[in-house]
Amino acid sequence: MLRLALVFAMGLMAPTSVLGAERSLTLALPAAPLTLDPHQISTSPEFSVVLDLYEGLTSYGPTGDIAPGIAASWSVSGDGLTWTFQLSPHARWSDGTEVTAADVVEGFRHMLDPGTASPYAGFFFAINGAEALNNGTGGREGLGVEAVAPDRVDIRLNTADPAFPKTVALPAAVPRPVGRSSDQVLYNGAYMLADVRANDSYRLVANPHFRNAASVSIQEVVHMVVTDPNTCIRRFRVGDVQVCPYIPTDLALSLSDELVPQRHIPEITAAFYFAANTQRPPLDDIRIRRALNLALDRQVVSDQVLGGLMPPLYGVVPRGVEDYVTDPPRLDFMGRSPFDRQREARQLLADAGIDPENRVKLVLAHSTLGDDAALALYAADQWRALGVDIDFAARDFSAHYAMFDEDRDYHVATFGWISETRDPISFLELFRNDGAYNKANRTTGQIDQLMAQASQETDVTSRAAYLAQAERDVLDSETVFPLMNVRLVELVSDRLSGWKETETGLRLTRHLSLAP
Amino acid sequence: MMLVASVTFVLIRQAPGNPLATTFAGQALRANAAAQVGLDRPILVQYTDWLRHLARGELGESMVFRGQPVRALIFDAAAITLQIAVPALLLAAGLALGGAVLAAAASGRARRWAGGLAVLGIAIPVFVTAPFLALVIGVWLRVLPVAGYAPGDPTYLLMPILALALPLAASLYLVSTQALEEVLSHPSIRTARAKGLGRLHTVTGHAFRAAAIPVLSFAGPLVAATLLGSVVVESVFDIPGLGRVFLDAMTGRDYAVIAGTTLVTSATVILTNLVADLSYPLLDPRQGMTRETG
Repeated sequence: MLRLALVFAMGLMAPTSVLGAERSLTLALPAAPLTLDPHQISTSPEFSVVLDLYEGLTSYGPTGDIAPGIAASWSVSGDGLTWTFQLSPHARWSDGTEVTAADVVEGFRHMLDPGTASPYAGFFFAINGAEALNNGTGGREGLGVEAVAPDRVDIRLNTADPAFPKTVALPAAVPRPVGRSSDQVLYNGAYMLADVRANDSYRLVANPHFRNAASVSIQEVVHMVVTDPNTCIRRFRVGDVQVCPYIPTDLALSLSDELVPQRHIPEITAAFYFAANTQRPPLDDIRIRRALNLALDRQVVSDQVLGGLMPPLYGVVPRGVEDYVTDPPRLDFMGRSPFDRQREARQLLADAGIDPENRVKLVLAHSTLGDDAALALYAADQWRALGVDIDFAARDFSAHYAMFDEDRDYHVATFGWISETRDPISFLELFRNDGAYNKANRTTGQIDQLMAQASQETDVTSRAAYLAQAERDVLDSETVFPLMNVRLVELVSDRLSGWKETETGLRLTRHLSLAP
Repeated sequence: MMLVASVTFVLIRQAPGNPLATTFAGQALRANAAAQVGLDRPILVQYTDWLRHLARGELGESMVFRGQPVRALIFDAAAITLQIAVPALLLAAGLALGGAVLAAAASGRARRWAGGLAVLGIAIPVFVTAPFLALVIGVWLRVLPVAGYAPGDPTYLLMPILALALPLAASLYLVSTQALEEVLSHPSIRTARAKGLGRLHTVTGHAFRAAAIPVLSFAGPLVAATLLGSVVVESVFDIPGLGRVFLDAMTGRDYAVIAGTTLVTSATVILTNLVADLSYPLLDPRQGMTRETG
């Protein structure tokens, strides 16, 4: 009654939902896409939109597995260095013209061109001439991507990569039309961009020329920017959006009863760590690093700090990777009692001259986003009892991650990582001494040689064995304190079907359907 | 105005983080991207380049939203913010000035209650009132859209306008009542009352005009508060306005957009103060006269 009275008093109609038809879906994006150029994207919201608009040689199936894209089939040469992709005769651009091998070649050349500044260019440096093209020392013609026939592409690698079909599913590897009018933007994915309201919403409609258009159930999808998770939950409750892709842990644990059944917690291939700065005293002393590592109880972190939503992590490589050993290396103290671990930690610190009477102060840098602050507080609490005091250095997301490349003003720093390719290398790469990341600021260990050997190896089992040795090397150096396997908490309408758990967190709208 | 924008231009580049830190993994890729957006050049060169663009009425290109002109980004968003800010200011002015006049004519007890409510309106921040309104009106009652923006549909703007207007009205009410009380204690007003003029008539006919000057001097801070409040309101209600553009730019260290929005918002506040200053003689002709001394 009150509601009716208010409607009439204000002279308003009840709001109409964004949903216009049964086959229209609205998905929330936690941030605005910065670009929709597939060769320039890098963030999750951009992936969500662009994967609906374009597809590469390979694509993602309903559960995130690698499936045919514009290539109907592919094979690799005996030495593992040349991949041949046979294009599907049904692959079309949105104007109805065929997607050709020349389009594929142009796509790779454009993406690797230094002028494009593609954030994902580094993923393709295994291709002959890719790194040289990208850093300006080589030309486009030298790139090892060749149209050997109008419907066949050969890609030559400088090192074998069994996971290469996963790499070419990334949006950075989509083709680029050549020889067409430049004023028309063409798409080769299941949808075409129909309407953009900058920084607000992106309306996509089904592409009638998509190679598998008949299988597409949802005819219109609106990707809507909803930056505040609280707002997303409210919009979800009234039916404005059918999916909220990112719900922070604290909100996920306090959802109302009506929403809990629609809460999804898929496990993705992602990890969260503390990195120890090995170049900054006193953490150049491995005894102190090990003591700090020992003091963290991963099960307590999982159960009490994170409400049981994130499983504990005892290695560098999280769950969900492919082509890896079945029994990966783990922290050697996994399974030991808290009392036992604390005793060893105290002894190690005492040997290094630190105890509750002779305290030391460390800087713990963390991002203000997500669960970083809660984890930092937990760690500080554990370490304080051992004689280690903490100065917190909280920075916003951008400043925190820039710190790893700028002043490295930390003893211990939080950071998370996600892999779209589910390759263990994605995580081990972070700790190479000579790599682009070197999160722990390391200079020791065998990891560089082991990673180089793995990259030369064509046999999947042998490659995995080298990578496992590299992981053991990182763990033994006590430079990284693994904490948790990251999960995404999402709200998904119970009207939506086909929303399967995917290890990469990447989903294509064309695999979904919506009940009226 | 230029000083504010120039200081912002320099300071934001000294802050930790940069527009490429979270997008480009690896120093080689980041160096290449920095060259593409001109961040590899000395800060003085970047600054003179920015000034050259500004002289042509341009604000450069966004460093985060690849290739998008800052001017278009800001002006498109500002057009949406204006649809909330202007009605919110008008509503706040209506509520505050109307309330102040009524309070001046009312009893002391009613005035104390109204004053208490206004203090409460200031004390409760907009990031509390805005979600509360969204929950009650949008989710529980479902009489207005809970969030979002649809061009041409004013129903999406009503709650943001209300959320933005309430704290502004509270501040303006307190300023107005104080100004009115001062004017009402003036001997000329006491004389008018002694001649038998009613309290309400005294307020509307004599005191209100005199009290408008201190209220008008509050216009600059009021506009600044409106722009600040719009950052929160636009975030809570998913409005793609200037506040959200500024917040995104700050988070992503989009130097060009930060400098552009600072320039536009400082220009707005300065212009408002200028218009207010020029309006004083209209309300009080003595303000426009040159006083002779000696």
